[in-house]
Amino acid sequence: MEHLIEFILAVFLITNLMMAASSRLMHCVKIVMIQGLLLGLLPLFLGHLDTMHLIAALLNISIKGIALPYLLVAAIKRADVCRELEPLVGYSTSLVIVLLFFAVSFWLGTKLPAEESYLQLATPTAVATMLTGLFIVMARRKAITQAIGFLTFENGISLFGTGRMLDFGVAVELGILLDVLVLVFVMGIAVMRIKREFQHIDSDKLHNLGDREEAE
Amino acid sequence: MFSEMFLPLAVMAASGAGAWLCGKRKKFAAGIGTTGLILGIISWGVLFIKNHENPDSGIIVWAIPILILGLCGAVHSLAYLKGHGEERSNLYYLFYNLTVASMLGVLLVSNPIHFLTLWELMGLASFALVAFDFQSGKTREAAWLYLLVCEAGSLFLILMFLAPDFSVMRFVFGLLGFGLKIGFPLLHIWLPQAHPAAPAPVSALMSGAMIPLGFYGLLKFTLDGCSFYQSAGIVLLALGAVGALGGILFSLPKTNIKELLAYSSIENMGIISMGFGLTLLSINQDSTILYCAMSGALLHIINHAFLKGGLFLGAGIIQKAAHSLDMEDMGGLLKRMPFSGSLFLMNSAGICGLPPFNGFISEFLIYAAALLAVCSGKLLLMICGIIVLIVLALTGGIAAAAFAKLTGAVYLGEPRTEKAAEAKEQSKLMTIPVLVLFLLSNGVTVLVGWGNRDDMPALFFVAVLSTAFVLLSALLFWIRCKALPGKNDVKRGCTWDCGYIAPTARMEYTGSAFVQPITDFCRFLMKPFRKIVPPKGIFAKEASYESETDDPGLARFWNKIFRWVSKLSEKIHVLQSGYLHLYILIATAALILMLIWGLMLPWCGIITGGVK
Repeated sequence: MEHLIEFILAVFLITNLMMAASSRLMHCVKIVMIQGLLLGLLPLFLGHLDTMHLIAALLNISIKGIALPYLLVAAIKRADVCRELEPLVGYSTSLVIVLLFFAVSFWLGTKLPAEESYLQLATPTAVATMLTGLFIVMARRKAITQAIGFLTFENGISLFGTGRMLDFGVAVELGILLDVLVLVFVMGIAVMRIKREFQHIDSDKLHNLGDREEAE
Repeated sequence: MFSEMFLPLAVMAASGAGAWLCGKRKKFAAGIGTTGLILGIISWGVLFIKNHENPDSGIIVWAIPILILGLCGAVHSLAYLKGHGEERSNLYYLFYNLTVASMLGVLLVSNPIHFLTLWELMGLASFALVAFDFQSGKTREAAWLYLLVCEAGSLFLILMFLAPDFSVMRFVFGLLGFGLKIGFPLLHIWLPQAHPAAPAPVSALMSGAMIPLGFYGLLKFTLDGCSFYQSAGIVLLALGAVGALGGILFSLPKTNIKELLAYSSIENMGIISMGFGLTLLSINQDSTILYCAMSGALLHIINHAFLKGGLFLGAGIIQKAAHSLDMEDMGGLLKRMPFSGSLFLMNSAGICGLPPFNGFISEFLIYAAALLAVCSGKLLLMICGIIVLIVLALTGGIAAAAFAKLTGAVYLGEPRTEKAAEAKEQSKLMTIPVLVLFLLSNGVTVLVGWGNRDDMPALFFVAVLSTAFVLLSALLFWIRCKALPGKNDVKRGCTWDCGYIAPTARMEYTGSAFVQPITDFCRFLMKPFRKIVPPKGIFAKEASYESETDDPGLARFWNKIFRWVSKLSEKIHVLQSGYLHLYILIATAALILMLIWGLMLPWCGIITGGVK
């Protein structure tokens, strides 16, 4: 069992690296889907299973593993983009930065008190996933990639909740899950509208709509 | 404890809301609002007398000014509002009642949250009153400054309640928060702007009853039980000394009546603060000094409320009669309005602390405390006593000069403008409240003297002398008017004729000219802006003199800070780039840094303690 959990966490870390390095949107969606499925499986190996955890696992698998990837794929097809062409931070640099994040999060993991010995890996993995997700949001232009990044970020939070077995972890996770679901829906609609209006979905070009006057 | 005493406050607030709902029917609005307020005030007073055994009944010192000024101001407003924003009078009654109710409410609560809520309500409601004449740009500016000061004060009060009990931090935040209301030096900038901008009854209420509430908060929440009362006393005494001297000095060059009165309020708050400072210094040292200083300070709160309330209401009468607040436009009003004019004169004498009136009694008590402190033989008390004596004597003298200027320029001589020449006595609704305040203030003298006839014979002696003096003057006046021959043979001529064939009002002393010797002497402090065009040649065609003194706190301190802050915020504005990516980056970096900081520090248990 312990080896299985550690294996799942290790796969999580690898998916994070893959996420940072891949330019194809479809590929990113697949990675997020894998993360969602792993997240749903994790509570099943924790040993003491109760109804709440079971519900959370089922919801995670059905929403993160199936529904959200489906919605993302639909959005990608409608917006007719398949690649992140000009990321703000290049792919090899992204890899280095994500590796740095790993180092930081493992350091943080040693600082935070650990009680369950076999889940020692959970905290650093969770923090690393959150940071990777945020990094994707920051470093990519396309709205869809940013949504994927946010989803990764949320996976990190869920992992933290499950791994540390917080008191209200499940409730909080379900709340965030709802959040993400709405986000992807809104993103799917907004991407269509933006695409129709501006012929692109690069979020960094939208700052011209802000009210701050450019000092030129 | 005082729970049923909130009922009258609810009545006031409800009648205010009722008045507001009356809309344009201003007679109804005035009727409902004023009736509710008077009912509320009377029932509050009755309930208080019923509860007077309560250990917290010391609030009466602050409640009396609110009750009496609230009542007098409401009656005065009835006439004051005629032709002065009358169409918005329903709003006026709403906020007036809310202000009075929240001020009384502040005295009743001791829970920090309740206190802050009522304090904030008091600030906001009075802000609406200050902004009542919102058509004028100057009023809007003053109201804006007042709002900023109120909010800054509330912020400091929140910080004070968060700070650990009895700590120095709590004292400093309390001093800043309540000091903004009291008008300690440098924190006083809103007073000389908000008082002239507000309607006269509101200025009276704010100056007489609201500002001293700062002392209430300071005593109740900041100083109660603090262990370093010696240093706190020194701080209060120093602030009071600077405020008293500075306030009255800067009142001298002002030509706006209400602005001068506002500076005089700063001075009086300084005197009260010195009284409390002496009180704190004499704890565990000398109970006589403590008794004198404390009672002097508390009595001065009541005296100042009655006198300054009367003066501000009197300024309202002048404003209605002469359609201006600038004393250089006036002159000769005493001939035209003998009744309210003489009341104003006597109130002015009282606020300077001149003997027959009640301002003297409280200053006398503080003088007595200072003298006792000088004689006590303890070095610290001696030094502080000497400082208090010097400051009190100086402020008394300069206050006399300032009020001689005020009354001289407004009431004596010949009118300088047509409008002043046409001034006449105003409605009884305006003069009666001033008379009531004046009688009450002198009643205080008698009451205090009589109440202390065994403990403090000197006070009794002063009170008897004052009463005798007043009665004697009244008797002489009566004999002159009724009994002496030639009573109907009074000739009225122009003043200060000086033997000229054709004197004009332009030849008479202006207020600024009257105080010029003193302002010139203090030029190094006041730094007035002066523009002089001297007469040229033998037959000079023109000559002029202009001078203007800015508030030192605003001009030399706050404006610099404001400029600095706006420069800084212009630099920070760069962060607001409009790029979502950058926003997220900044937020993430801040979060990570906080996390690292929290884990590095030894008290990281606070963060990780919540994690199982």
